[in-house]
Amino acid sequence: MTPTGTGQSISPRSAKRRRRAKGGVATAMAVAILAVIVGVALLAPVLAPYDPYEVDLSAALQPPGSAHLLGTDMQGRDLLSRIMYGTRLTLLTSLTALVSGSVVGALLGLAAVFFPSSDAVIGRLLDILLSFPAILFGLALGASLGPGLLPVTIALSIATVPEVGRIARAAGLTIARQEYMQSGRAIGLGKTTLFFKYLAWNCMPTIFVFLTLRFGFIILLGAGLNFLGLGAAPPAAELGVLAAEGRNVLAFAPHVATYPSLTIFLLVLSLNVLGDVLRDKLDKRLL
Amino acid sequence: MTLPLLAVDALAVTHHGADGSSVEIIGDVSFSIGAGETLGLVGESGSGKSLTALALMDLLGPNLAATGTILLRDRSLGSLRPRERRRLCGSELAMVFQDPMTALNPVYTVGDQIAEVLLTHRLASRRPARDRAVELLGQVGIPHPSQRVDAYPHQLSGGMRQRVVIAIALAGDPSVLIADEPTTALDVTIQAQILDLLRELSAQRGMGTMLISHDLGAIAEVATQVMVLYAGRVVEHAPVDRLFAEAQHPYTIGLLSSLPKLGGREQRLSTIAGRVPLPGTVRTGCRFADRCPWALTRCRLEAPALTEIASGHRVACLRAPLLAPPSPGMAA
Amino acid sequence: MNSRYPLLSVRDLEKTFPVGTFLRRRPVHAVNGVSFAIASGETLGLVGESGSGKSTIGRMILNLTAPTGGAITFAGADIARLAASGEIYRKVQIIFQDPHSSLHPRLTVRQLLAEPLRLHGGKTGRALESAVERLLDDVGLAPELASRYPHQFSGGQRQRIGIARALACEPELIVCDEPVSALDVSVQAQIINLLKDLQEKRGLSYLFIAHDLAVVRHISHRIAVLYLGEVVESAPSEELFSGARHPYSQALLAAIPRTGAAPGKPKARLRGEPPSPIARPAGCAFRARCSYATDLCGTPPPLRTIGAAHLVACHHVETIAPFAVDRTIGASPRLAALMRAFAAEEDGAST
Repeated sequence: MTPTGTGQSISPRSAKRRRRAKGGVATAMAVAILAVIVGVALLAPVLAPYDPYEVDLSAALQPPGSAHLLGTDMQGRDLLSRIMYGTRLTLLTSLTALVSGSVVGALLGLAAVFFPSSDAVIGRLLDILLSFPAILFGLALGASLGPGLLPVTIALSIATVPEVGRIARAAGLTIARQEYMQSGRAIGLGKTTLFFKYLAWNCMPTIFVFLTLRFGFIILLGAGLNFLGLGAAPPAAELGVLAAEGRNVLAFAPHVATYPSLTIFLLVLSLNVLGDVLRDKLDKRLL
Repeated sequence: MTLPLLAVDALAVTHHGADGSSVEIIGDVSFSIGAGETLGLVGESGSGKSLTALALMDLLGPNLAATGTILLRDRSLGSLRPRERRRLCGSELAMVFQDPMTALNPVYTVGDQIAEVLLTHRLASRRPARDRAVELLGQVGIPHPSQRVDAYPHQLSGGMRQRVVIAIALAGDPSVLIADEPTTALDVTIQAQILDLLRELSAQRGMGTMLISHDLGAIAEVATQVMVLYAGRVVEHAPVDRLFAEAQHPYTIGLLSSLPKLGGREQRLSTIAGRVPLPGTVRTGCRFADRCPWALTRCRLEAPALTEIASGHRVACLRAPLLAPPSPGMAA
Repeated sequence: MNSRYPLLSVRDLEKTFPVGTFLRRRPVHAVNGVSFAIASGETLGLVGESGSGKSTIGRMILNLTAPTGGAITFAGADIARLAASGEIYRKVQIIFQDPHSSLHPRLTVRQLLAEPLRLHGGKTGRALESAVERLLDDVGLAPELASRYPHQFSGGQRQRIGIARALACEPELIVCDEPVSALDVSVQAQIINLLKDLQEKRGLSYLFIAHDLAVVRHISHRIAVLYLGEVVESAPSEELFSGARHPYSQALLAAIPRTGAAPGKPKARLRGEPPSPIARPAGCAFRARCSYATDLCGTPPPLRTIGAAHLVACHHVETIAPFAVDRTIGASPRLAALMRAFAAEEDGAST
């Protein structure tokens, strides 16, 4: 059979297949990069060739070479080891912030749906949180608690709450309109079951996809706060701090700033690619 | 006899999977619609009735390809370039969709949406377009059309919105109008009004209409000829009076008997056991054989051809015409 | 059960929603003084177009929506009180219209049915498992399907699962909210037969809400016609179809598309559309569309008894001729015989 009769002869098949194949390669690469980065970060104590805090001023600012794969920094510390430990710290703070912030955000957003009388109050609260730049929070917290990883984590967590809250509320409103919510109520299920098993569970895919997309942003924001010196202070190995240290020697030892930045870049990019793929898979659930 | 407005011959739609497989979803659909005629296309979900309409309108999704000949008046749609074909669809060949809520753009007034069709097809310039929109709204029975022309879709009721959708379809002065379940989303009394409107428009304008519906009642009210689709094949095609009085295909008979009757009360409704086979699962024989009380061994081996058993009455059944009840002991 | 009470009794039921801006908020009646009763084992059909309040009434009976006035009693006990103790859900259940959205998509059929069984029957373990199987069998589904998810079923099968879930609570009354309007014709027939069989076996009562009069007539013993939140006519279903008296009921009956009726024949049609409850006319709500309307209709017509169980709310009921649905069926004797043969054959196959 030849698809010519009705003018549909341009075969849409090959184009679509090509597109899918291209998407497949990008996804596979993103997964691979992410797996390597996370794996290395987890196994940093085993894999790292040097102690990330061991100062050797005689070996300062060596370019990448056989002794130090990615070279050394101003104080002769092995950059590769520092990046391994730094990624670990960065992932740890971002993930802690993301999980804590999204739990609070999702509960708030879904509560606004489930208890309509609370909608106005929660809605305003989320709006207020949304109107504060996270950087400002970090600055304020840093000023009151002193610099450290805790204020950065709290700031990142708070930055996550309103966005997740709004996504959860939107997803929840869609789910609440479904007849199975009424069906559960008609069976006589308790409020807790209805909230978690019926409402929250069905909103999870939407929230999860959003979080995947958001993770990259949180990493970037955390690295930014640390870069500005609001978070982990030197000599702590954290990707943002490492990039900040390299800034001073950018002119004659560009590798010190480049490699940490590149790690952040790859991490965020692959997370975003992955998030996009997940969203496409579930996009009928998204508004 | 004059040339039919729309003539379709051996229309088929095939799905090409990403893995190189291809499955024919509808096949061998042929019919013609003359001026003032309404073809009713009946079938349950999965019968391919909406796909037939989409294939005519060139609106098939990716992975779907249509074959066959479509003649609109004297032009073969298949030989047109995509751009010409697009221009034809929406003017010469227009379509009304099921859900009037989503078929209209919520941010434009109904007048703007009618005018847009007129301007796109260069049927009027901006100022006369508005007058024409008012005129069309009046033709589809919208009261106070000169005020309603500035209304937004959400300000209108469901029935009024469906009238607007019909007015938009009429803007291009189509020779054939395809209506895909136009009354399914509407209330009973409004359904009747819309069906009346479609019948009147078809008669007044000498327009051909194709009415797609799962509702045999709606088809009976409006259609002049009826085509019954089952699993992507035409199983029966007859003038409306003849179909509802002398249906011959077992599927049509089953469908008619599963309708609750208005006269006479019966204890149980008749049903058709089993399910519609998925496309590509029936390779030999008749697609209805598994659910057919009259099926013979032959029916599972040999695909029945659509044969004319009376003037204009075509049936795809090896046992047609079914003269008598099938087996003895059927006195019930 | 106390036989002095009907199973369900609804009296002067009202539901108002506030509309308008903050300063000019006023109530709108979605349901306005509706009364009816359902006896044990009886089916009451509730017919009306969108905006008639029929679904709202169904939901108020399960207390999914709280009424703003009137009383609903189940076997003599107040529904609100039964709802507070959760008892209502063991007596009244609901089947929803949309089989695609009325089942939790991430629970298997087994989990869907186990929820009410555990909650109301206190069943666990082996007893729970066999109860699930029995329910599936009751609604005509194979027990092997229990581990599947709703999206793996067709619309008709999903509606069966919805019915099984309602049955799991062992209710005495089931509110059927347009249970077949989303289904194909041949599947509709299967579901209606199932509902009738269950009624026979379990002595269930139904409140059957629908807009399709042919379906309602087939399953209901009595039918109440709603217009803008008010009952305009209520009668035994045979009587409604052979002698409808309210102009709106007559128009509804006349609007049913018929197979076998001569096409192209002009018919009396109801003009206009139902006004929205927000702009409800004073007096008889139907008078703007009614060809019999006079000045008298400016006052609300009371619901009057005109026959044994036949109530009509119309000032002019005496002057309006009863309307009977034209019973002629176009099928030739030969087609009628074929249809009977088809039905007999299918029946033989299913039993």
